[in-house]
Formats: sequence, C-alpha cells, structure tokens
Amino acid sequence: MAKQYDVLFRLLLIGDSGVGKTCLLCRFTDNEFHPSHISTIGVDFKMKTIDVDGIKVRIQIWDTAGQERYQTITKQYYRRAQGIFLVYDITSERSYQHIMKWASDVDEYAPDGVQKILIGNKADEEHKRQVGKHQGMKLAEEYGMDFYETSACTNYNIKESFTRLTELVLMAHRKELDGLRLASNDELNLAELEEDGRKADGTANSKSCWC
Amino acid sequence: MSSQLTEEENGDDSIYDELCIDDESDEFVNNTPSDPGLKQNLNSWPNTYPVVWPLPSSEDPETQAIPSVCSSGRGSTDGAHFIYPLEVRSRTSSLVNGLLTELYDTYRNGTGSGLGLYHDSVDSSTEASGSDAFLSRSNPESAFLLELSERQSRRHQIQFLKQKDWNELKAIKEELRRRIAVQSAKLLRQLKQKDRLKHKVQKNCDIVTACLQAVSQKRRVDTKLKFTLEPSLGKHGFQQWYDALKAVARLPTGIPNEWRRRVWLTLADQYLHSISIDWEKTMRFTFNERSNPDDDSMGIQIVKDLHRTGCSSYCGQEAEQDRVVLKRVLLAYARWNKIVGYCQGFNILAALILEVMEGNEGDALKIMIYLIDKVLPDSYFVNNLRALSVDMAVFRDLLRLKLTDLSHHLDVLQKTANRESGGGYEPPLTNVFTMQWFLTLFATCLPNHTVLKIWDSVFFEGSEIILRVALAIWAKLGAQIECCQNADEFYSTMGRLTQEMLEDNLIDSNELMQTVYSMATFPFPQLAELREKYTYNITPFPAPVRSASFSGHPSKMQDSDEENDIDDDDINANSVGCLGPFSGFLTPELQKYQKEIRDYQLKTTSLSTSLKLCLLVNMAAVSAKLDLRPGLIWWSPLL
Repeated sequence: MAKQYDVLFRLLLIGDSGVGKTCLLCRFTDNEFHPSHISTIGVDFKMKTIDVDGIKVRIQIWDTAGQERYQTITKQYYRRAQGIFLVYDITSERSYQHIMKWASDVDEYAPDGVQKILIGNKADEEHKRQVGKHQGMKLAEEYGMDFYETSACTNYNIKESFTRLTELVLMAHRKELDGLRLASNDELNLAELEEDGRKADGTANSKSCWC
Repeated sequence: MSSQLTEEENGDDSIYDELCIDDESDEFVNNTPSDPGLKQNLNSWPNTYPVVWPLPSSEDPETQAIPSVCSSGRGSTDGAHFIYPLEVRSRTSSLVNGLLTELYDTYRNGTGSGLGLYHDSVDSSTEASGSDAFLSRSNPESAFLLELSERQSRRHQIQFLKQKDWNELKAIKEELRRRIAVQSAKLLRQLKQKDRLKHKVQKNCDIVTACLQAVSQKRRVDTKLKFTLEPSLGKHGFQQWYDALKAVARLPTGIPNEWRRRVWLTLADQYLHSISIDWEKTMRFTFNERSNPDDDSMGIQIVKDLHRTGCSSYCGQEAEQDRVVLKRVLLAYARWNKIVGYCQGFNILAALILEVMEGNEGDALKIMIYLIDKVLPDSYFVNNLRALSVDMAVFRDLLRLKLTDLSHHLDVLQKTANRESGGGYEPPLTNVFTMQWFLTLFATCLPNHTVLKIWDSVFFEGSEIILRVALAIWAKLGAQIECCQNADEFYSTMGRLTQEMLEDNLIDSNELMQTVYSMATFPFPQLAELREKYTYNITPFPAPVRSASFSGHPSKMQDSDEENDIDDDDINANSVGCLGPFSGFLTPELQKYQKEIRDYQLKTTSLSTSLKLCLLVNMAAVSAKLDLRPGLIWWSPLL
C-alpha cells in the first residue's frame, strides 16, 4: 500500500477543561472554529499531514477531556505521545496554575524525551486577560518549553505552534535515530532506512516512532 | 325511561364496533351502552323524567334542537300530566336547580364553560346546532329565562316568578322540562361517548396484547403478557405493564415517540417510589434557588459545558432560557447525588432527556436519577470512571467471543503499533470509541431517533444493551476495519465512519436493534461473571483519597487498568476460562505471565535505553504492591 506520509507522530493536548483544546485542534486540522463544540468525552483524535522541511509528517493529535475524573483514562494515552501541548486559558488564572500539575503528570506518565510546548489560548480575549504574557514565558522557561499565545478564534499562532511542536519532535527523533543507527541493533529498521536513503537522515521511515 | 333505553339497546354492536369514533354522531347515539354500570345509572334516573332518547336523527336542526316531549312516540310518559310523588319532586327540583345554574352560567359566558363539553365532543356539529338553537330561540319562555337569569339574587328571582300567572308558569315549566330533557340526553351521550372510547382503548390494548403474544417466543410467561397504557393498580400492575412495554420496545417500530415521555416517567416514578422518596421535598431541595456551599466547583464545570452539548438548541443568545433549565437540571442532579456530582457528558444526556421531557426540569431530573442511579452500573461516572473501565474491558472480551476475526485483527494492529513505536503503549484500539459511546449512551455517535430507541431498550433491558449495541456497531463496521493495515489507518477510517454514523444513517436503527436483540439470550451469557472479574482485576484497591486531589495521580488505577489491558491483550484464549473467583486463578496465570514475559523480552531487545529506564522507574513505584497484585509480575523480569 502506497504510503501517504513519511513519518507518523502522535501529539497530545492536555489542560484544564474549557481552555480550548478542542478548538485549537479544529482550527488546526479543519480551519474551523466552533465555540460551542461538544465537550470532549474521554479521548478524541484528529489527523493531519503536514510538510516539514520536505518531509511529509503525519500527525495524530489526541485531544483529552479536561475534567479531573477522566484523567485515569486519558493518562493511558500519554505513554504513546511524542509531543504534548500543555494548554491554559489566559483568561483563567486557575488554568494557568494547574499547568504545574499537568506538567508533573507528563513527567510521570509520558515517555522520556517527549517534546512539550506551552500554549496560552484565547489571546483574543484581551479584556478578560488574567495571565500576563510574561507569566507564560516565565513558566515555559522554567520547564524548558517553547511558549505560544494563541487564539483559535482569530487563528493566531495556531499553525505556528503545531508546526513548531512537530519540528521539535522531528528533531528529537533524528537524534535518536542517529543513535540507533550507530547501535545498529535493529536490522529491520536499518534495512528500511537504507532503502529509503533519499530522505535526509532516514527520517522517512514511515509509521516509526522512535522513542 | 330505562325501558325506553333498553329498547334501543338491541342495535347490532358488532356493526358499531367497526365504526370509527370519528364518525358516529348518529350511530353513536343509537349504539347502546353495554356497560351494566351505566345502565344502572340510567335506571336510577327518576323514571318520571321524560327524557327523549335518542334524539331524532333528522337533519333539521329545529327538530333536533327542540325535541318534543309529547311527540317522542316511544312510549315515554308524558311528564306534563304526571303527578310527582313528593320525594321525587324535591329531588327533581334540586336537579332542576343544578341544571338551571349550569344554563345560566352558559348563557353568561356566551357558549362557554358550562356547555363546553359540546365543543369538545366528537359529534359537535349536532351538539353545536342544538345548543345554538337552544339558546337563541326567541319564544316567550326563553325570553323569560333570559330575564330570570339577569336577576342575580335568589330573592329577586323568586319575586320575579311570583309576578307570573299560572299559565305562564306552566309554560315555563314545560320549557324547562324540555331543556332538561335535552341536557340529559346530551349528558348521556357524553357518558356513552366516554364509555365507548374507554371500550375502544381497551379493545386496542387487547389487539396490542394479541400482537405481542403472537410475536413472542410463546413461552409460558409470554402468555401472561397483557398490554395496558398505564400500570393498573394492584400488586402486579406495574410488572404487567413493564413486561408488555418491554415487548413493545422489542418490536421493530419500538416505543412510539408519543409514548416515550410517559413510559420513561412511569419507570422513573416506580423507581423513586421503590426507594421511598418524598419527591416534593426532593424537588424543593434540588431546585433550590439559593446556592449550596458545595455547588461551586460543580457549578463552574457545569457552566463551562452548558453550550457544549452538541445540541444546537443550547447554543446562541436565544437559547439562554434552555441553558438555564439545563443548568438547573444538572445542578439538581449533582445535589441529589453528591457522590456522582457532575461528570462531563451529563450535559449531553440531560439535553436529550430534556428534549423528551418537553423541557420539564422536574421530570428530567427523575429520568437522570433513574438512568444514572439505577440503570447504569454503579461508579460509571465516579471513582475515576471505574465501572466504565470495567465495561470497556468486558466489552473487549465480548468482542473476542462474538467477533473473533475482527477482534484478532484489532489485536494485531495494536501489537504492531506497540512494536513499531518501540515500546510506546497503544491502548486497545476500540477504547477511544467505546468510551464515548458508553459515557453518552451513543448520543454523540448516532442520530437522535436511533439513540432514543437504544435508550428505551436500555431502560427496559438494562445496561447490557449498551454492550450489545457496541457489538452490533462494530459488527457493522467490521468489513471496513478489516481492510485497515495499521493502527493509523484504523483511526483514519474510524474518524470517517463515526462521522457517517452520525450524519448519514450508516446504521439503520431497525436493523441495529434487531441485531441487538438477537445476538444473544437475555441476560447476556457470562456478562455478570466478566463484569465481576474485571471489577476485581482492574481495581483491587479503590483509590478514593488519591484520586480526589488534582495532583495525586491515581496511579494505582492507572497501572491496574493498563495491566488489565495488557493482560486482556495477551490472554485471549484464557480470558473466559479464568472467570472463577480467585481460587486456582493465581498459579496458572502467573506461569502464563512469566512465559509471556520471556517471549516479550525476546521481542523487545531493541527497546531503547530511555524506555527501559522509564519502565524501571515505574516498576520501582509499584513494586511495593507486587505481592498483592499478580498482574504486575508480568513486568518483574525487566527489573
């Protein structure tokens, strides 16, 4: 079967209920914005294939319910993620404070080397802002993450943030790929890599998620 | 009078039985009551009363409107020449008084309330023409009655009457008698009408009963099926109604939309009655305008979700009122059941319930209570959705039993995904979908009319219907899923199929429900055992304290569920065999796990160091529990 993409990554959106995770996702994948989107029940997903430096990257983006009681179930999806968006709402101080807790969940349940990015959503609602941009930047710095303020409503920084996380994941996995190549203990993958040598650094190996 | 009636009673009932109630103005009159009770009433009517029965069926409104006492020609006593016995007279006068009052009322209110019955009656044409003529007739007696009615007090009326001479009074008496006769006839018609309609309903119920029995499995219990619209009183009334309605729900047409509200309410009322709830008091408490101290956290989440029900009627400015009602219902349930409180997804359930309950918040609350507290398994929405996790695991076992090929295919895709992601963990592929289906009882994945049918069925058959419907859906989608080569393709395909299911009637509701009913006997074989097994397996220890705090990760739950998933993934053949309680369960399972671990180790030599480290950390965290949790030994050789 002809492959429609070169590499597959799984990204995950987490954050308090109502910060706009689903809206970010819909804006990115379908360029649509429905403020009254149905609240996410459990886990949901959307797909998109994007082009990063000439590589067709298939991203599965997993969206999670924010309510606390769902976390047992949503955490099962952390372990397979290569990139995670931690999302807060700039109009909600509380959702910003909770980022700490989300981040520690990530440390506990997501694989090592997972790429993270901090998102302050609803940047269009400046009049209701409770969390300053500098606060977001400071927090991101603490955690060593990139930071974006976004607005799903006005389509501000959406594509940029998704592309950035994808790039980070791609970069992280290139390194690992090189390491694995040196170790050369995976014959199957190596064979495929050689076959697919036209792609830079062999990242073209489809469906593989090097974690 | 009674003899007169009985004379008329010999009409051929069978003919009239065939007549529709909407065409019986005359037939109906002639058709006689077979109800002995009514006959009794007629007999007790003062038989000196020259009620004309039936009304002449002539088209001439004048004849109809002014039936002449003397010309009835049916052997009636001419009341004008009859000497009343004293007691009859006093009784008559009270009757006359009553009827007069009614007539006056009618007159005062135009053609209003007192005679309002006429306008409701099926044969209103006859009645209307009769009453119009009756009221507008301009003979002297009518004028007199008019005048009389204008005198408000009794004293004035008596004075007015005193001024009349004997002949006048006699004429008036005649007029009154005639009018009373007309009214009596009309009353009788109404009574007979009522009686007939009741009879008709009973007959239709009998027909439904016959149909239900005809399509039933003809077991002994089926012969006792008896359909009624509402539970009859008495010890077995409810059960009888329940059994019959359950059979109706199983018919291809299901419960008619018009009945749904009443049927659901009857079920909910019965439940509330069975737990001895003072509903008035509950309503006062749950819909209290003042907020309760513990409303806050729930309230915040509820408000966040009000416009996110997926139901367009709750979006936008104009839906403000609907959202207020939805909020009140959700808050009321959260106050009613503080342990469950509010779970995301209730907004979707409550929105649909409110639609069926036509916006009545009290009724909607009843249904919420019945559904969540009684019908669905305990802890479906609490305790980290523990019972839901159980049902998802149970469901995968059922899938393995019923749709072996599909289940195997999905297992292969999952394993491949696990291997290719180098140790990343792919949860069972069906989870993401079944979770949504189960939590919203399919409200977000199928068109409304299908969802309502499913809910009817859930209310009558219990929560196993949810598992059955999920099986039926996967069976329907199976062929397309089996074409998928990898997990990503599976998710893409399902993304498309779920959209089609919701919007394009990919799933035919009749076909779906027939599959649901025919896939296995009731109750679903082994279901109870499987649920029990996973209830113990998934959460050997509930983690109430830790799960309650935001930062306290309910890691026990997490690990154990994962363990279950893996366990479930790897012991295909044994999953049903080891249903028994824990005796004899541990040893063979342990051996099996250990063997699997060895296999797994061989397969995973290429695990990256980082993953191994990650696992080690995990293992350290849980190693303390190993002795109590056999499933985790699965991992031990990695340590």
